This record gives sequence, structure tokens and C-alpha cells, in this order.
Amino acid sequence: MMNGTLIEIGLVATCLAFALALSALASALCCRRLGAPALLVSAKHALIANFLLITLACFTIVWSFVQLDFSVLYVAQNANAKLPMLYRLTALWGAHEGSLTLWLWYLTLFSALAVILHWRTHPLSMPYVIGVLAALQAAFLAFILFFSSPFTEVHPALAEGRDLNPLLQDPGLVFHPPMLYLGYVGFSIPFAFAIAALIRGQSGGEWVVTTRRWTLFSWLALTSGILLGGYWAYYELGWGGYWAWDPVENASLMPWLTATAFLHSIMVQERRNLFQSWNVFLIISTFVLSLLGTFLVRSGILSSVHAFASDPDRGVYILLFLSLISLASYGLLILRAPRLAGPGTLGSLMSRETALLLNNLLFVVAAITVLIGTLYPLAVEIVTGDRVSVAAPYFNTVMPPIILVVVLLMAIGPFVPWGRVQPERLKSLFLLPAVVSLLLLAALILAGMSQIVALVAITLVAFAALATFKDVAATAQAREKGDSIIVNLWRQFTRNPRRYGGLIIHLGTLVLIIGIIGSALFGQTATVTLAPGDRMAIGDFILIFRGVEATPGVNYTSRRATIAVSQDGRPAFVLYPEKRNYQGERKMVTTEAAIHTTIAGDLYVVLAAEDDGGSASIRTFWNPLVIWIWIGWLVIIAGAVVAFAQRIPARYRLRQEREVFA
Amino acid sequence: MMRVANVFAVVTVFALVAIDGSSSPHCAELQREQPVETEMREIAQNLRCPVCQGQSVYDSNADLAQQMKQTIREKLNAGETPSQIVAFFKARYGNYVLMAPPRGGLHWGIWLGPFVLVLIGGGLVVWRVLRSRQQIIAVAGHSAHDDMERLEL
Amino acid sequence: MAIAEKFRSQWWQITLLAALIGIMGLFFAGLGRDVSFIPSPLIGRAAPQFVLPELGGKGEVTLAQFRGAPVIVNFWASWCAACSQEHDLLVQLGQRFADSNQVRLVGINYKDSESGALRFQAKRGAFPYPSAVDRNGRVGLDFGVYGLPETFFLDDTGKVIAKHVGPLTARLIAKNLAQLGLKQ
Repeated sequence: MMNGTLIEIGLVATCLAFALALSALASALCCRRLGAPALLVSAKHALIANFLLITLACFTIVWSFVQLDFSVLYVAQNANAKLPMLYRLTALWGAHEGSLTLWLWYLTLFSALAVILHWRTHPLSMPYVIGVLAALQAAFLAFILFFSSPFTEVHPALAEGRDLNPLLQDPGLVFHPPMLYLGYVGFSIPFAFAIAALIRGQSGGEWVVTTRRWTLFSWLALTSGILLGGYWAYYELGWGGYWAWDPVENASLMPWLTATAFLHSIMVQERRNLFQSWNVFLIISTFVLSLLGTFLVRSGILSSVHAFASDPDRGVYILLFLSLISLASYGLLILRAPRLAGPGTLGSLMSRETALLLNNLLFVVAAITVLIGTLYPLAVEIVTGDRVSVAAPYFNTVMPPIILVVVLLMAIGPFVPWGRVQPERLKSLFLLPAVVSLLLLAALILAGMSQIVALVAITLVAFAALATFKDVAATAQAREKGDSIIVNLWRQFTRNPRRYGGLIIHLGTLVLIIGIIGSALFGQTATVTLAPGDRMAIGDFILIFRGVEATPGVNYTSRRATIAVSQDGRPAFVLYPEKRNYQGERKMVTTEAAIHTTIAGDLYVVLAAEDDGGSASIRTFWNPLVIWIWIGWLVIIAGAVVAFAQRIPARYRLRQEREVFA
Repeated sequence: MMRVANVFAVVTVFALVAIDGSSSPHCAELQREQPVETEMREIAQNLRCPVCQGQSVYDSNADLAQQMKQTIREKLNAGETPSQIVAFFKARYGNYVLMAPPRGGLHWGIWLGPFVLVLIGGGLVVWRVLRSRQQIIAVAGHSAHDDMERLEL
Repeated sequence: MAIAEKFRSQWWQITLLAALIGIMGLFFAGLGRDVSFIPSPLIGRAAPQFVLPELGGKGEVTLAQFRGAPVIVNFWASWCAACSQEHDLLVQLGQRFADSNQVRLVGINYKDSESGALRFQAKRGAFPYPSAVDRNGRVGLDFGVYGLPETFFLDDTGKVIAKHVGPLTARLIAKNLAQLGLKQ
């Protein structure tokens, strides 16, 4: 097979997919007017076909990487002969063009799935859902084909490729972008259903129930994607932290914040028929913010370590696309909001609805804060010409108070009844947890802890955890005669998986927050110049520097330091921090930190610099409780899996079937 | 004879250990971070590296960042205060080199913004709730309490 | 008032639309600008004084010796690829004003080696004006230098009128000379 033929198949498949997306859009829009249901069926088939076509296109790119086909420009820019196979398989999303293709692949996958899963139960919404998804696909396909094609060929084929960015030659690349994009693109389905509901003027709000699992799944993927990114940055970049409030990191946080708000407020819509327009606003914002993230990274408008290389044309196209979608969706919301209003009303200040509303308020304000922080330098520059920075010190000042109030709501919200609560009930629910947490606060103060933020945070986390445990304990005890606690708990869990899944997610979040409190507020660091044989102390450890030696690697040379660590007077383990020199096309020096993880914290050692005399500057960190962040993440996954089992209530299924026969 | 040899061996071992222990200059000494390094870190972590993509001066390995860190150390050794050192860099590189907008004049908006938004939003929430309660009373003509009972699912 | 009433009933719609248009406008305005550019706080203020050894000579170069005439201060180095782009222009400029006192030029060789700097001039042509040696970059720090080449335009009182980052072009030189009050 000639070089380059395979990638041409990929290109043809993509062009075909573009044509099919346009035809699906046209069919979906016209099928009602022309009274031709067959058109809608053909649109459905087009979306399914697109999934197959784009899968083929992605396969051609990945295979070109595996074969190191340097006649493909994208492969030549991101791989060379020495690139390990794992990264050849995953380099598809290592740079701009390919990562957009991954985005597109997810979009076709979810579109096909959504269309297949909901075809029979939502025939009236299908034209609009298909129309929205087809339009999104068409826009991405146009962008990829005309502005960022990974299928471009180079003739004659280059003899050797450039290289994948050395920072990306790491297992983190295998997981972080795919997981993150899974989250971003997953929200396109609830978005499409929301737009359909707007266009149809539906006030019943069924779309929220239909897309509940999509929402939960996408939220979980986005949470995991963000945490994977933090984990990867933590061990790969070597500055000792996992979150830097970098603009690209913020771009992924914003949709997460509105998505979390959305996840909570849809409960109020289901139970009390409130917040219909607000929920549509939230899902539109979540999806638009996901697209905004895509824009910010590629447009050259922000300066960030994560940014792809910029190109003004690309930036203009993406911005136009984004503006169009935002104006169309929000515009539709503005026009149709009155039709969505439901019969429910908010009655009482002390109720679950109000707690959820406050939750929404805080998350949305947090999202707005991150947005303003990201846009502020731009605005100031345009208005006054001055350049200011908005970075970690700003966010670390304004965000913690918001998060702490959210923790307080986590303690109260899930346990306050719907509608209205009697004051006596409040006492029975919260008195015990409050008293115990205040006792804990007193104990901490007596033990010598003086950081106010830490004290407040720990007290609130304890309050929330205790309230949650108390609720689960009360549930376990309220059992029918003869049942064991386990059987009873199992019955409660299966009767209401969403509630208990949600509580587990809350507990996971509390564990995560404890990890953040530990590492952010109680960390220690020391940078010392050591000669061979010198010792230093950090945390409970004594580090003995043994020296630095040259170590070869696959496609790099490295200077590796040997540091013997002892604990409690006895030698415990040895750490090998490195500085790697990638000598290929992309010359880069990377820092490989050496991390020793325990449940109490991480000992994190970096080789900062060497001098000629054999001494080295060693940077050490003691990061308490970091592993709790990742453990909390696992608990969140478990809770989400439990909550996923929640079945759609019978009354909604009935309503959907009525739709079929209407 | 054997006993003398044993005693001799034990004494030798002890002597060797004693010599070895005392001849190593790093035996019990722990290197500590220099105080100037600690102070420099606190300043450099809050300054933005002018040539990097958003990194702080402390985290950056760029040439200019290293020069700035060295300058900070020299100034600290000369007795300057952190605010003097920050002002030094601000006079030369402008507000860009600070990691957050200065808390004065024009920039109060961004510092107080989130707090103000929460207050406004909270006020809206409370207002909406109270207004719905009034509407229920007005429409139904019953006491609000009875209606709450009925609305509870 | 009808407008106020309309606003009260539709306040969130108007706010949302305005915010949306504002943000989109901000993004459009922000496209295409140079994210790495840092405006100089020295503009409008007196340039920092310096006393540095002369490159290839035995004397000193100070800013004070140029008082009384507009000065162009150009930071350059032999390791800076972009500096070769503007080199010929600078040489021409220096020759043009060599005899008059209308404009004085001074170069500052930034964080370079003496041999490298001299070799650079030998290969591309010597500057017809003195260059000072800023070996450790302290003077560069005082001027807020972050990326070579950088050129400062001072008026006759030593006040910084303009700063340019990147290689000079003929148009830029003409524009800044006009600002300094010189005829072409």
C-alpha cells in the first residue's frame, strides 16, 4: 500500500461525514414541514453512519502514527522513530488538529447513541435533537476540514519526524484528554434536548429526566478529567502542586461548576416543578463553557503552559462559531422562557429547594468569578492599555470562602425536607453533628492549630461528614422487624439509589476537600544546596544526598540524583529525582520529581540545579494528605455508579409513551 | 591468649568506629534552608515571570527569572523589605509582574465582585421566596402554613 | 415610565444579552494581539541612569554624557537572532546622525561575552556609536528588559518617550524620530 493512501481514506470519510451531517440537518429541519417521517429516519441513519465514518478516520490517523508514516504532516510534526509505541497510539490527541478530531469522534459517538436510545420514547423531540447534533457535527467538521486538517500530506515524505512534546510523553496523556473531552462532549446531549424543549415550548421538563444519566455520566467524566489533569501536573511538572489556576485549567473548571449546579437543580425540577428556565440556562451555559474552553486553548488569546500553538484564523472561526451558538441558544431561552414556567412555587426559606437554590447561587458565582478572573486582564488591556495578571493569589483569596459555604450547604441541604421544615426537626437533625464539630474545633485550637481558614474548613467538613453519617445511620436503624442492618441498608440503597449515591459522592468530595486542606495549608517546603553526604530534614524524614549521575533513556539523557531517605532513625527508601534532556527535534529539559506517597502525605523531591563541584540544589516538599484527593475521587466514582442505577419514575415513562401516540 | 585476642578485637572495632564516626564531618549535621531562601521564595512566588507562560518567578527556570531571584536574594541580604523589593520590580515591569491586580482604585471591582454577587444573588433568592409566599396567601386566601402542608409531596 | 416598566419585567433577559454581547466583543477585540507584550512603566519617566564599561574600549559609557540631546538606547546581543534583522538599520541610523548632535545613539550589549559581541560586529559591521557592556543584566533589569532586541527613545531631558520590543523597522524609526521632534 502506498504511503499516504490510508490517510486519504480518512480524509474522504471525513468529507463524506460532513456532507451527511449537512443532509441530516436539512432533513431534520424539513421533515415536519414536508410531513415526511422518512426524512427523519434518514437523518438518524446519517448520524449513525457518521460515527462509523469518523471512527474510520481516527483509525487512519492512529495507524499512520503506528506505521510512522511521515508523509502525513500531523504524524511528522508529532512523532519520530524513537517514540515509544504507547505514545504513537495516543499521539492522536497530542496536538491541536488531532485533539479536535477526538472531540468530533466523541460527538458522533454520543449523537448516534442518543438517537438510538431515545428514538422510540421521544419522537416529537427527535427532529430538534438531531438538528442540533447535526449542526454541531457540521460545524466541527467544517472547522477540521478547512482550518485544522490532520489529513494534510507532505510530499515527498519527510525522512524523520519532529517529536511529540516531551512533556506529553507520559501515561497521563493516555487518560487526561480523552476523559476530559468525554465530559465536555457528553453535555451536548442534554444541551440538544434542552434546545428541543425550548423550541417545542415544553413545560413538562421531561428532558431533564431523560438526560439525567447523560448528565451524571458527563459530570463524572469531567470531574475525573480535571482530577486526572491535576494528578498528571502534580507528578509531571515538578513544582509540587496540582492546580495553578492557569487559564486553561480554569477553562475546564468553569463548565464543571455550572454542571454541578445543574446536577443539583434538576432535582428541584423533577420533584417540585420549579426552575425550568433556570435549568435550561445552566445546561446551555455548561455546554457553551465547554466550547469556550476549546476556544481559549487554541486561539492565542491567553498565555498558558497548556495552550496549543495559535493561529488567528482559527481563533476567529471558533469565536464566530461560539458566538453563533451562544446567541442562538440564549436567544431562544430569552424568547421561550415564559412558556417554560411550571406550576410549582417556592414556599419556605428553610427547605431543600432553597438550599439547592443557594447551592446553585454559589456555584454560579464561583463560575462567574473564574470567568471574570480569566477575562479581566483582557478587559483592562483593552480599556486602559495596562497589563495586569490574575493568577493564583487572586483565586486563592476569593474562592475558598465560596467553597466553605458550599461545604456548609452539603451539611444541611440533603437532610432538610422538601417544602418546609419545622424548627424542632432542625434541632434533631443538626444538633449532634454541630456540637461534635464544635468540640473538634475546640480540640484543634487547644492542640495549637491557629490558621483560621484551616480551623473553619475542618469544622465545616466535620459537620458535613457527621450529618451525612447520622442520616445513613438513622436509615440503617429504621428497619422493619427482623431485618438485619445490611439487608435494610441494601433495600434503602436500591429503593433510592440517587439519594445514597449522592451522599456517597458528597462524602467523597469531603475526603477530597480534606486532601486539599492538608496539602494547601499544612505543607512544608525547603530548597537546600547539598554536597554528597549532606543531610537535610523535612516532615518526619531525613534526606541524605548521595550524588548525581548521568543516566541514558530511550530518547533522552538524564541527570539523576540519588537521595537516601530515613524515617525514625532507620533507612526507609531511596528517591531518584531527575532532570531529563530531550535532544530530539524538540529540545526540552523536563523535571521528573521523585514522590513517595503515604496516607499521611507525599514526600516530593526535585533536582533543581547542579553545580560543577558535585553539589546540587534539591527542592523538597512535604505535602500532607495529597492521596486523600485521589481517594476522594474514587469514592465519588463509586457514588456516581450507585446513583446511575436510579430508574426513571413510572409517571415520566407514561408521559413519554403518550407522546408517541399523540 | 584467646581472651586477649578477643579483647583486642573488640577494642579495635570500637576504636575504628569511633574514628570513623568522628572523622565524618556530616555525621549529625542537618543542612537547613537558608533564611534568605525562604524569604526569597515568599516574594518570588508572588511575582510573575515576564517571559514565561504564567509561571511565577520562583517556579520558572528562565534566565530572567533566575536573575530576578538572585536580585531578590541580594536585596534581602542588603536589608530591603519584601514590599520594597516588590515595588522595585513593579517600577520596572509594571503591574504585569504582580500575580494579582493591586487592591486599589480601579481594581476594587474584581476583588469585591464575587462577594457582591453572592449578596445580590442571596437577596434575590430571599426576595423570590418571600414573594411566592405572599402570592400563595393572596391567591388561595388560606394561611401560608396550610398551603405548605398541602404542597408537601 | 414605560421603559422602566419594561426593564423591570425583563431585566434578566436584557442583562443576559448585554453580558453575552460584552463578552463576545471582548474576545473579538482580544484576538490577534501579542500575549507576550508587556507595556513599559518607564514611558513618561526619566530613564534609569547607568555607568558601564565600553565594549572594546577602556572607558566608560554613561547615560549622563548624552544629556542635552535625544537618545536612542538599543539593547542587543550576539546570541539574539532577531538583533541581526535590525542591525543594518541601526548602523545606517548611526551614520546618519554621526556628525550632528540631533540624535545620539548608544547600544547596550546585554548578558553577552566580549568576544561574541566583537565577533558579531566584525561579521555584520561595527556600530558607528559606542556600546556599553551590561554583563550581568542589572541595567537591563532597571530598564525592564525582557526580550531582546529592545529600543528606548529618550528626549533631550532623558525622559523615555517610547519603547519598542522586537527588531526595529524603518517606519517605526521614522515615527519615533518624529515624536522626538526631528525632521527626516
